[in-house]
Amino acid sequence: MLRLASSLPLVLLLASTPAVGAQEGDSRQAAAVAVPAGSYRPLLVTGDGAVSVEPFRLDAMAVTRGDFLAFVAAHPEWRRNTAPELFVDEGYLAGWPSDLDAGEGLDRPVTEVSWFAARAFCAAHGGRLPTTDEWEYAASLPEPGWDPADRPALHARFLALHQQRPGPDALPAVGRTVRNQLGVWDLHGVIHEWTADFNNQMLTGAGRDDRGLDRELFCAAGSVGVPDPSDYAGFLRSAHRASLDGSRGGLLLGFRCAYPT
Amino acid sequence: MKNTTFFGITGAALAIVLFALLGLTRTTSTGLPSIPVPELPELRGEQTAVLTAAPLVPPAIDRDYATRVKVELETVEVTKRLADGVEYTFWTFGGSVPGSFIRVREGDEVEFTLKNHPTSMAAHNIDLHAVTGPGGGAKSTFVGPNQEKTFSFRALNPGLYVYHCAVAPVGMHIANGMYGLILVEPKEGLPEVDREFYVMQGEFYTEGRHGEKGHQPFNYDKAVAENPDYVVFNGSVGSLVGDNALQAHVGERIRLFVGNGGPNLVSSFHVIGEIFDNVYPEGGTTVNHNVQTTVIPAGGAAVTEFRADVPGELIMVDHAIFRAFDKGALGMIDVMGPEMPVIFDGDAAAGGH
Ligand SMILES: [Cu+2]
Repeated sequence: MLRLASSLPLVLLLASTPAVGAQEGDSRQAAAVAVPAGSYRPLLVTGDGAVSVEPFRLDAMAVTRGDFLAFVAAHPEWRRNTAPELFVDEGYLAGWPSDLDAGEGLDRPVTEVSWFAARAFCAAHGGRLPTTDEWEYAASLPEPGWDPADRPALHARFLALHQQRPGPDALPAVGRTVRNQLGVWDLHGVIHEWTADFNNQMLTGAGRDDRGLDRELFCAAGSVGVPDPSDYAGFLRSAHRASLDGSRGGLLLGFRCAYPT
Repeated sequence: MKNTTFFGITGAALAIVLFALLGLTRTTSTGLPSIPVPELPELRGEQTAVLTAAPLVPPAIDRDYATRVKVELETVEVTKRLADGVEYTFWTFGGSVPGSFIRVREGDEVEFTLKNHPTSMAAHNIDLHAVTGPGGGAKSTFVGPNQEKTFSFRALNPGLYVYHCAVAPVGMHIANGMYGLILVEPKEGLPEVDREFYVMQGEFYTEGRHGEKGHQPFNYDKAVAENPDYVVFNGSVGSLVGDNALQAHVGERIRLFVGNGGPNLVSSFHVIGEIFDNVYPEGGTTVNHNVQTTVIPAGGAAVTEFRADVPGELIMVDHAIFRAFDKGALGMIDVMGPEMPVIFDGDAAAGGH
């Protein structure tokens, strides 16, 4: 969870970050996929339930080890040995042989990065982390040939992909699993991904006493107030997101960036 | 209107004054009624709980006092054998299904730490039915991969209790194997026996039909329909068969701690060739005698005891018998020793029921 005490200096530092590396005509940004306006149904909804999403652009693939290596090469303040303790823990890039050596498989998604570091990477490319709504909206869109209205079939497909995740020792290169109808890759079958407001569930309502969150994440929970409980991959992502701590990455946690249209 | 309101308020105020005068609510400085702290046994010392994987059970508790017991359990997602040629990615407490057996004494304070392995894909937690407190500890132990959390509870009620993961979608976490047993021994202890075993039933809902080879993912539709492909004891078909059969000798008193993780089915637990001398139904305090088949609810447990009177093979089954014959709910106890023709005289090799 994002600790309040740590957020003030942090905002100052992060606010200064974008200018450092952002360049006109950033090639990463140029390659992003346009996501048109639309809507999706989150797990916990009231009323008709749809949440609208404004148009934005999204990385077609997750940020790779190679991408992140280039970032830390250009931004020494985010190298493993210099990144401030407030923003990364001891697991930050811990699998890399050294500060400027990302090891084998540079085209695999980068993991073991904190939310702060992910955010700084996106800012350096003139972007930001997608919001949870944006990410989930993109992930709710099927592969070509699948009926977007057939939610049970899609939920079964997303859960199957989720269960096919290969584990930290066998992460495939990005762009090798499934591409959705917009051209966005690997949203279901490889890693979890940071979102800008991953801790929103914790910060809205009364934290631990947030009844909505309890309903969504814990036992008795499950389906009360959830119109369609069959989105199991969605539940798994939502619970995982709620467990995250901004300074702590994970072996199966990476990210991709979003940009304005 | 005014008068009604006026009287209404007066009435309420009067009631509060009366209440206070009668001493029905002693109030603290915060204005909340003060509730007496229950009297609990004094805690002496501290120790770390011995945890065991099924079918083993930690040794009986020989303390006659309450202590602070530290329990540390780790959630790990592992791919292992479910049946011959069939693999499943189990989500476990401690690396196997069922999860590690935890044994504490009535009155103990349990300091419980739940860790989630760094390679986990999912966030997990633990709801111990032995806990008096919110969610059985579920909210206090909600951990993402590579996190750990600690909470404490007082083991107030003796009994045999199920624990399980309670993160949504809870059915999938349980269906993947996230359950185990915690025994809160009564302060006077349990009667001495010669052997104790840990057996826990659970169902698996796989993409492929029973026996279909290869890695089998969890199937949502079958789980919702409560139509499992596998019903097993101790996490896999054959976990208590052949070389893995439980061993005992003629004349020994045997205690089975039997749990049912479900997630859906109620077990009709039966041992072919024996009669339970004692059953603690639902893991509680009353004792029933001379029981053939005991019902164990999903998310429940029972303690069964019997004396192994004659040599031979005892067969544990869920007596909803297709589950035993076709889905795997079958385990064995090899009882070795001299024949006892005064009790049983016949050609045991013929088999049967
Ligand atoms: Cu779990």
